[in-house]
Amino acid sequence: MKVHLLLPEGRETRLGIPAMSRDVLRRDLDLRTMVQGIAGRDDVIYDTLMEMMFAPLLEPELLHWRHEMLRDVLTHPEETMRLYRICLEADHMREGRVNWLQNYDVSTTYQGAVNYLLNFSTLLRLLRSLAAEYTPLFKSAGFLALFSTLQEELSDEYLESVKRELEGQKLVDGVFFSARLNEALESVDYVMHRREKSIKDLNPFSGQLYRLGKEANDDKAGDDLTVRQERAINRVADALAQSAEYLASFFDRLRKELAFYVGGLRFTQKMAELGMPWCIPELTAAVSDSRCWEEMYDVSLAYRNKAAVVGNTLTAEHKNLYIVTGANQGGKTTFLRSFGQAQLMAQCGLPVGAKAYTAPYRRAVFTHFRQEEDRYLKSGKLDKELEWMDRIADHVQSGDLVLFNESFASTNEREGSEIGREITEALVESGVEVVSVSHLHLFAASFRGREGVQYLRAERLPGGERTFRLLPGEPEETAYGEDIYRRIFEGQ
Amino acid sequence: MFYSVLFPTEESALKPRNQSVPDCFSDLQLDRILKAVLPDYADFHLEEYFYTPLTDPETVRYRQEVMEELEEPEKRAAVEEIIRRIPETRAILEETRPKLLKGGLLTGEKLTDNYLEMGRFLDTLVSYLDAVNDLNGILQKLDLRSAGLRKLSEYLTGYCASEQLRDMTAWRQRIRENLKHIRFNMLVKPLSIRVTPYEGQADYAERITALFSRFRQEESRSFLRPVEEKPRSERIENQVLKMVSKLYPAEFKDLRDFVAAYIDITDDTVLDFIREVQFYFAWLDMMKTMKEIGFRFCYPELRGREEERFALDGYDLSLAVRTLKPVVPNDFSLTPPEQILVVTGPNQGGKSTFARAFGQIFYLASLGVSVPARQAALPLCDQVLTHFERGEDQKLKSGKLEEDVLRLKGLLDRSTKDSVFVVNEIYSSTTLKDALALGGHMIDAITDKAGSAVVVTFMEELSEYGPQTVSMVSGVSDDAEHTRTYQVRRRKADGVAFARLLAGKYGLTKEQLKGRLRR
Repeated sequence: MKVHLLLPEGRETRLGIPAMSRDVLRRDLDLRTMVQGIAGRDDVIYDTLMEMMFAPLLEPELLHWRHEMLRDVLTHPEETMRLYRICLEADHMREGRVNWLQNYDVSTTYQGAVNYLLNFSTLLRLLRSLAAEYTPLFKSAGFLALFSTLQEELSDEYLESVKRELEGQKLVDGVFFSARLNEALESVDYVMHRREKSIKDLNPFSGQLYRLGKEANDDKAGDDLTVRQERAINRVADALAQSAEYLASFFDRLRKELAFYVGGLRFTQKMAELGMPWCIPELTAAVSDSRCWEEMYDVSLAYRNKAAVVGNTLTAEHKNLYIVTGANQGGKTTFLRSFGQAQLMAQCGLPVGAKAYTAPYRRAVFTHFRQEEDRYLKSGKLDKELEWMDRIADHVQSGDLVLFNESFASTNEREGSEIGREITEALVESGVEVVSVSHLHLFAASFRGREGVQYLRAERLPGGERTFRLLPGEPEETAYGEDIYRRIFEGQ
Repeated sequence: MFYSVLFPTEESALKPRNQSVPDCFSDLQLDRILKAVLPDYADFHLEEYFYTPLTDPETVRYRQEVMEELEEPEKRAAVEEIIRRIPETRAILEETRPKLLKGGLLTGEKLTDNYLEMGRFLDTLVSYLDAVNDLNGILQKLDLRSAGLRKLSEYLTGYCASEQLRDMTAWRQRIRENLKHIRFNMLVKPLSIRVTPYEGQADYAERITALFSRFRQEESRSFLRPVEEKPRSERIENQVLKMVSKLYPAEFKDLRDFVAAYIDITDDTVLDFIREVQFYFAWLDMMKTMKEIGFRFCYPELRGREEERFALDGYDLSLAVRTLKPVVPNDFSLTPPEQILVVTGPNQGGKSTFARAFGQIFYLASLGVSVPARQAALPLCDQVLTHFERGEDQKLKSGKLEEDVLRLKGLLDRSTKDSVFVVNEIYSSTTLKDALALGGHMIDAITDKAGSAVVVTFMEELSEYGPQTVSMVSGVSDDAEHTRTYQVRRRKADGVAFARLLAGKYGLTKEQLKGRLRR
């Protein structure tokens, strides 16, 4: 009874984005703020969204499959949440189980698991009835497959047999089991048996009887019979506890997979509330080098500010290198984040923070962002930057996306530009898409006239005021540090 | 005639072995290497073999051959799989035999009521005999090259062909079949046990699992408690066995007769082999792990005292086993009259590591095991004498200098022309003038009293001391790509600065990066 809400049965997720890149992506793209905003206090939504964003889909049919499910959820929010709440209840029921599950005493585990399993069957009954009720409402293959599995597997006969098998096996009546002898003549392989009515009271004259006499006072002998019972119960208690875990894991899985769509639902609800657009994105073949985005914005910033934020619009055809220059605090990093976020969200089947969004599939995303100064106070900053680039180079492949933010600027401009140019050229010429925010003029200008380059510049109005928008435009030699200086020191 | 898998002759085996850790172990970090090698083999107490360098080339070659042969996976697996089944045969048999004899099992009609002791004996004996037979069979099938394993095989063939062993095999098979068929029920209540014949009852645990398996998403962890599978009270287990013996009287009688007939059948040569061969396994385990990561090992060729000695791509095995990451290998060679490698160069350039590798290769070669290098040829050394600066102790400078000289004197007194010297950064806390004077004396003394040596020092002058010294420099990068560091190369000490293209060091020039992306 597997849950297949994230991928159709028989399909597996590939490895996804290399582990070394994940923490860095979380930090550089500010994914935490976004996902935290969507998940609220629900850790499962948080974990699932993070996990899914790091496992980008590469197959159009799988993305389509998820989009169908997303549409079901967006059309039936109430029903989706009811299913989700059953999973929450299952989770709640589990809270007490640690007491018997972790108990050292085997018979406590045995009894605890029996009770737990009996209680769980109520929840199963409820789940089955919802499945029947929702079957006519939902349209996606994924939800319909789940509903049909639930109705098949949780029949009345089945739920009845669960009850029958678990009841009436109290340990106080003695433990009944069989054993063999190993080559050392020790009795081993204890296998516990159900005591059916017919053998409840064994014929007192059958077999051999040994009664513990005064040797019961001997520590070992007194203990022996208890240990013998525990050995026999052990496997059954294990089977019961594992069964309890299976049930719990079934609900866990159901919750986890639902959580993805619940996350998508919450995202659209919140953005609508803030007056921000969202869309179900369109992805094109990985070989494509064209992109188009309309009002694409930094979702984390929207969650952080709890307000509408500025978006960017561009149609870029046959570009594989984006060089972003211009005024400090002109929205360059925000743009870079929105670029990475949209790619990750789009490729796992989530809605995207943009009015419209079309992009090619990307196998993996890497970020190389210059970090806060204090992180590298000690040993060569450039060394650290190169070290990280070296690690990216170990994993990056043709068809990937790499985002640079003020990289290699920790040395002088000539050196930094040269290092940056060589790395960027090598990547682009090897089929990697690159977006690079840089104030290194030599670096930025070195791509002039090259095919496939899209220059973008932070917009500045004639009075020096920023719009936080990026417009197509070649790099200008002057930076805008003056502006900031003036604004901060002279209050302009 | 086979005597031992570690020694070709009785004479070599009877030489005393060191029972305590040799002095060079901590400086060369051989202790760390053993830490990676021995833990899984603690029961066999193999330390003495690692503490004792061999002095005759014959024994070294004898071991090298056996180890090289056991390095072949199928040969090792064949032998190991068999003897792993009988790790503690000797100890168990020595313990149980007298108990059984005392119980009157052999002589009187009276039955011993200690079925468990009998079972333990039977179990040990049977697995021992199985193993010996299987081992013999396997060894005969393998195409053996080494003298050690070939002679063992001949010995086993004779032993297994004995009439007693052949008769036993058939009987044992019958006993085993009998035991397999015994199955009985127990009903255990707080103060009683009832034993009845088993009547095909179903496994309750399986029924439960079948009932709930449909919910399974992935493997659940196990909730099996660590319950001792051995009987808690032997007295009660014996009572149970007594009851079972009444359900199966013929089977139990057959068992007793068998034990009585074969109580003295084990053989010391075989039992010794089982322990001694672990020496090879222990080392080979480590080697296999390291080879999988890419490290290379070789069996050094043994040379005479006056011949050239060298190692290619040697490395510090202790560093390698600790980090399990690639370390930069280095070559060294000494062609008489060259005798002493003098290593200078920047800090963190791999000097100490180089010196340790040098000492390790000589020491390990003298154990008859493989050494951390791609290729090596060396004279056998009788000991490795080490003098490393003790990083921590900040004694008075004069006190420390005196101590350094004293320690060196002690080492030189023990040294022979077959000894290897490893000296690391001594005299570093004194004035250059003092250090140079003392350093010169040291070189003279080593030249005079010892065999090969490596001296790591900040004193570049020592590297051109005389025909016996060879200058080596650390932190060298030969290749144009500047991708490697920590190399130690034979070259004149010229204080060249450590300078290179930074990007090149990380493999990030345009050409390098494009090359890396072409996969």
